[in-house]
Amino acid sequence: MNLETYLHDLSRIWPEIVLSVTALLALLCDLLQRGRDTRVTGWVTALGVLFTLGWICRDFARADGATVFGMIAHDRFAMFFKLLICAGTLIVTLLSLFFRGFQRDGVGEYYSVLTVAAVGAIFMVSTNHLLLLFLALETLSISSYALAGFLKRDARSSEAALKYLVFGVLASGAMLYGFSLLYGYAGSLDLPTIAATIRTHLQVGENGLTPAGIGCGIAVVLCLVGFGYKVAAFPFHFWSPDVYEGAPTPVTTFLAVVSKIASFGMILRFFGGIPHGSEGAAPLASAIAAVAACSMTFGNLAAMVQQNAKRLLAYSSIAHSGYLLAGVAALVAPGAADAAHGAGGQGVVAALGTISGGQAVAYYAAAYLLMNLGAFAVVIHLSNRFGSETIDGFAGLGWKAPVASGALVLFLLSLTGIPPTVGFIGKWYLLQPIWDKGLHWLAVLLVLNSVVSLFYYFRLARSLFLKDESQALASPRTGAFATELTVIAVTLAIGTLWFGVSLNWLSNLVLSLPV
Amino acid sequence: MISTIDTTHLLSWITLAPLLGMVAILFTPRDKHDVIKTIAAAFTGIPLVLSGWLYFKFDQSLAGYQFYEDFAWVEAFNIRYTVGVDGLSAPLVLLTGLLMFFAVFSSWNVEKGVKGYFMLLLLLTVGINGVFVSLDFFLFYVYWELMLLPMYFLIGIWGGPRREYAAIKFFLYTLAGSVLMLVAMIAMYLHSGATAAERTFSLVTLAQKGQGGLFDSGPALLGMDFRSWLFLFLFIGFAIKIPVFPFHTWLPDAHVEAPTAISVVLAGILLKLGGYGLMRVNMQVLPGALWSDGGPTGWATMLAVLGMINCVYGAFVAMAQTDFKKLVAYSSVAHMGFVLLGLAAMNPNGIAGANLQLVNHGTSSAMLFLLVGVIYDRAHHREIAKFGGLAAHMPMYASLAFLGIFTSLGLPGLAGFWGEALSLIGCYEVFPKITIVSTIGLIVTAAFLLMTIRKVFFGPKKEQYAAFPDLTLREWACLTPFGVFCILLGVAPFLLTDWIGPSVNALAALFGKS
Repeated sequence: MNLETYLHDLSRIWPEIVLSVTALLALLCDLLQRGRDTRVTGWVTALGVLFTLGWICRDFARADGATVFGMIAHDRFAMFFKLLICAGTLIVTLLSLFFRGFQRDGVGEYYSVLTVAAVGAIFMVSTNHLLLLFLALETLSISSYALAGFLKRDARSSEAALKYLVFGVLASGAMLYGFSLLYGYAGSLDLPTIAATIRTHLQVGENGLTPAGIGCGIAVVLCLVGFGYKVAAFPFHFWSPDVYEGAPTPVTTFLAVVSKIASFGMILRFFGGIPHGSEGAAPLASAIAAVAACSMTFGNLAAMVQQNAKRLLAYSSIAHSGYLLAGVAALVAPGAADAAHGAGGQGVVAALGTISGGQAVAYYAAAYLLMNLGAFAVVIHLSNRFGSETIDGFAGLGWKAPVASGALVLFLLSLTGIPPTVGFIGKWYLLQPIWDKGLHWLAVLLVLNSVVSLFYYFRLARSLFLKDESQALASPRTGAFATELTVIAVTLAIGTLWFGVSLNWLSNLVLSLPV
Repeated sequence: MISTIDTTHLLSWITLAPLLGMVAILFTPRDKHDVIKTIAAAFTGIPLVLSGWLYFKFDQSLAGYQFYEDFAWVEAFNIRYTVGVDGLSAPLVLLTGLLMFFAVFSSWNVEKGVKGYFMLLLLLTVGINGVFVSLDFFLFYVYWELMLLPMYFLIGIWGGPRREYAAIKFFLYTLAGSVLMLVAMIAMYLHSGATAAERTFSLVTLAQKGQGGLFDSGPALLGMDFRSWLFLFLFIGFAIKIPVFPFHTWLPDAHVEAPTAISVVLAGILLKLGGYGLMRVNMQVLPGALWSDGGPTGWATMLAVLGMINCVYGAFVAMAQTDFKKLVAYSSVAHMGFVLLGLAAMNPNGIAGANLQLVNHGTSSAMLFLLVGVIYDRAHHREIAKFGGLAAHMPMYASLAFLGIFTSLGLPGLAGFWGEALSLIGCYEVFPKITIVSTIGLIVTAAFLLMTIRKVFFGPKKEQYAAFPDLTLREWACLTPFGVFCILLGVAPFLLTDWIGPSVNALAALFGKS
């Protein structure tokens, strides 16, 4: 590789470089401040992330699908997910700046770790190489363990970090073993090559699966364990409620939103090469569909009895992983699109006017970003001002903080999937490929799950607006950044509503993604 | 089918004007109660005036859609903003205009959270009108769901003692129905064409394709054919709204807990959406599911049987009620049974009867709920047994109450008669036995309403009610228009039948009847 191509390749990963430099700058800034005022560090980080965001926007149109250093894909798909990750990180940085729990402790290095986690997330969605994938995943994971335990004086925070670490290492181990098996079968670490190998080996012949097929199947299942852990899908979800509850709320937001979106970007990239009429993918699709069905049902049912708002959102995010995995199942499932068009069987119908499972997942990820960030922003707002994170503690607060609470109701509507919000459009996009690929039961289960989820989401709304104020409520605290957090929440609410009504721009963007 | 593209955007104004009112209220200080109420009245007045104008501009000789507007919304999926009205929907738009306007007036004494209340009421108006005018299924669905949130809060915040339970029950039931509708909608869209250009959400195109037999074939699931699944999913969505037995249990709770104005809207219009949806989607898009090989299918029989159960069961349960409002709520269940009977008949008489019943029940039940509200405001209870002799203390109130109650029990000469009579006549041609059983419901309805009159208005005077003032000017102004409609549509039913006639005949023609 000569210098010219090297520099040319380098120019394609400027956003990654800028973000890494931001992490170092944040560290340097904290060093200069000697922990006196962490806000400067926070703002430096926010600016760095914003700059990265702008750079990705600028690069979006130039994505040419080339592979940089033979490892990193420079395509629209990666750009889209990078955009979501950076936008999410930006909001999380701002939320951290306005989070009351961080005011007491010196948490300057927090911003540096957060940015490093974001760097890991960005590489996760853009790499085509198994080794880099694992490195990126671990960069995100290890930073997340540290982030979860950042409230050092809080026992729950430390417990959360430890739990997260133990579960995480276990899942990583399983996944790494899967990776090594895949490398053994494919003889390459290149994801497209591996996908092709899986496709070949998973073909069911006359005598059933070949030994290599069984081995490949085991490897993919082991990878699924790792992925399932990252997205907190049932039955790999055990860490998430405790970690979500114990971690500082901005970190919870990061784990629930950015980390999850990055993981789904990775999953799409991993499985994206497998489908296209491959019969061998059917058992794999069934497995993913089963995990999806269990996740959404379990997450929703368990969320119904939660008292803590963060815990409730944790279980809800398990359910949302289920919805997204259902989209992945639709992507992987063999193209049975013709089944929906009469038994005529004129081959696979052109995919025009339909959204693929992968595109639907990408759209839903964007929707999920908006509505979940918003919900967490309001939870931070309310706990900052009124010192409560439980549903009962929110009683009557809707009348005290009407704008933020009203925004929360909108986010809850969107999470439930009721128009005119972006969450509804997301669900609608997900349902299309699911139904089209013949997974009718999954589509019905998904919509019925939205009804269940309405029950617990609106326990929050009920507490805020329908209940009378609880007597124990202290007067609102000052210095709670109420205005700043309200502005963030309202901005996200406008986005939730806007993309729920004006569908063209985001839909066309997603439909142009090569998945 | 379609006249011309409308240039006045009349229907869009009717639908979306309340949204402007919502924005106006949003920027009004929250303690300026009178300003907020006036804005709400003005922006529900606009749809009323415009839908009155629509009545005079409407060409009553046409069966097709009028005031048609059509714009692209989402190109990638062929979703369009398409609105238009025909004889089936136009009267309901006028009814909505009327009821929402008077709902604002009967809410004038709301003191808690005034700003929120009227914003939600306006949002509700947008949703209701939107459903009636939408000719694109996607748009229809968006408006359909738009009604849920305002209703939840209107019942949940301003309702009675068990309001939280009633509000979430209403929300869960209705959402459960509408998500199944969503699945059916997606299945229909994906089935409506092989390529993007052919796929559509347009109810007009879907109806044409459905009548051409497009949905007759499709993937059968669990031994039931594709069309039946579509019909079932859509039916459950609409049946919960009507509400059809056994999906009706949310209704009494919601009615009893809702404030008066919301009960009026609920009984007067929201229940009508279910019946309208059955006609617009189930019957127009999937006629083959109801009528094939020259006879009614099992689904049509099911519709008639459920109608019968609604009529008889609803009436008997209403008779057992001790709470005045709950009694009126269950009487709505009974009355909606006639809509089902009329639709199940699928002939001009039956369908016309169902439509008349929709409109007439809209005015009579609204009147009854307002009447219950009047007495509740004074007595702070609704126990029928505790009342008595009110006719002597409140003669004006009593006379209007008699009018409402007699309309409700279907006295000839008043509006309620025509819907029930035509439904039964129509249904008798197809399902004679079911019709005969259903008439028990008529008798029981008459019985419990007359008993209510006796217990509440006649009998010995009671001292505690002697001081009750008769109707105030505001109550009088709210009740009288409905009273006028009850008489007017009773003596001149042709005002409605001429209006809906061509569309009703066109619908009946789908089932080989004219």
